[in-house]
Amino acid sequence: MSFLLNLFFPHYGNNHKAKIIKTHGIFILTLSFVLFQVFLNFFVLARPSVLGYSSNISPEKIIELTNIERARTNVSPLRENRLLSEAARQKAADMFAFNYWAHVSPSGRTPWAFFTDLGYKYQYAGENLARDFSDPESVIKAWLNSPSHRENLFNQKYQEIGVAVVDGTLQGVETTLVVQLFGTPYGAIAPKSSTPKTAEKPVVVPIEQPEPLFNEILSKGQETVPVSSPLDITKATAFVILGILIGVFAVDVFVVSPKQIPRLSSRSFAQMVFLLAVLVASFFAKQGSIL
Amino acid sequence: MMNKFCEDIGEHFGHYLALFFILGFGITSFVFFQRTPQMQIVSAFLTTSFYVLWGIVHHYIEKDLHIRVVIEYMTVALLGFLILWSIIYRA
Repeated sequence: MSFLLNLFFPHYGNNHKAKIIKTHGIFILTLSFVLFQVFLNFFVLARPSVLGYSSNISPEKIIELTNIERARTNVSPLRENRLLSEAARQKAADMFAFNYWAHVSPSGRTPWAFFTDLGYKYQYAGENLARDFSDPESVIKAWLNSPSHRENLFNQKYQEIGVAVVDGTLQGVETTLVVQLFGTPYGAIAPKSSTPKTAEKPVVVPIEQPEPLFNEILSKGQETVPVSSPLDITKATAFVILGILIGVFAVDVFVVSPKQIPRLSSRSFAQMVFLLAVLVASFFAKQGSIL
Repeated sequence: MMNKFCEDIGEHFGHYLALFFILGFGITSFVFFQRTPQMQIVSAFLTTSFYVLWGIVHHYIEKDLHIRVVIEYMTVALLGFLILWSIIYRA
């Protein structure tokens, strides 16, 4: 108890400064953090199935969450279609290969080309994109918060869905891309308007339909789902360290400063604000984006 | 307790304003460059360096600058930088 008091609370016994915020206390914390990161690196190499660099997103979960959201608004659920999943995977591969983050490739290839290339004859089609999210709930939440993506998610005209989650390097940054394609097979419902929708702008459906090219069961994209990611563990560790230090500095500001005890020390308020800034920056270090 | 705290802030208002500007600019640039890790590392390094500089200047003006104080600022800045660097590296 006395040890904890010395460590976290300023009093006469520790010269009115908690030991954890003294130079050697912070230095030990810093060293521990570095050693933990080194250990994490070795652990990632030794047990990649436990700690992997992939995000915790699976295509099945995206489809499941999409259908849960549709059910909440009484919209019929979407059926998974292997052709659409493969089209989504090919779209993601195309984005990595030609290094673009857009619905239409730099060469002018539209999302609908990926449908027709695989022989998916569509009446209605749509596409949602997401990158750099670490969990499927955040992806769905971001799409729900965007009117155009939300419209795609709840569009009653869509009957089928295909999702691919692919890791790679996009524009120099390690990225997890989520491609969600919606479709309604040609002739499935009485046509009123044949306008497929991306989240940004609609593109007219081509009239000519190519012959199906699809002969075999196609994969749904990469589905490596490790138990936890090193990023999440690093963030959690950082938040714990920063939280403890901010708390102890706050106690120091509000308990010691009013007593006007003379001591040679840095400004606890400044240290607290600096660590708060680090906390905020850590939180916003890499946020997901949608298109 | 709060009165004393507010007094201290008021007394060093200019200093803390400069500190908030440094940290605000640091956070903004860090978030702005979230697709460019190299720039994020540069932002983190510059912000932590300016933070240490702020501490030195502040204590120099207050006439209580000591090497121990500088080391305290440097240690906290180092921890902050290493945390940000680790997150950038893992992201």
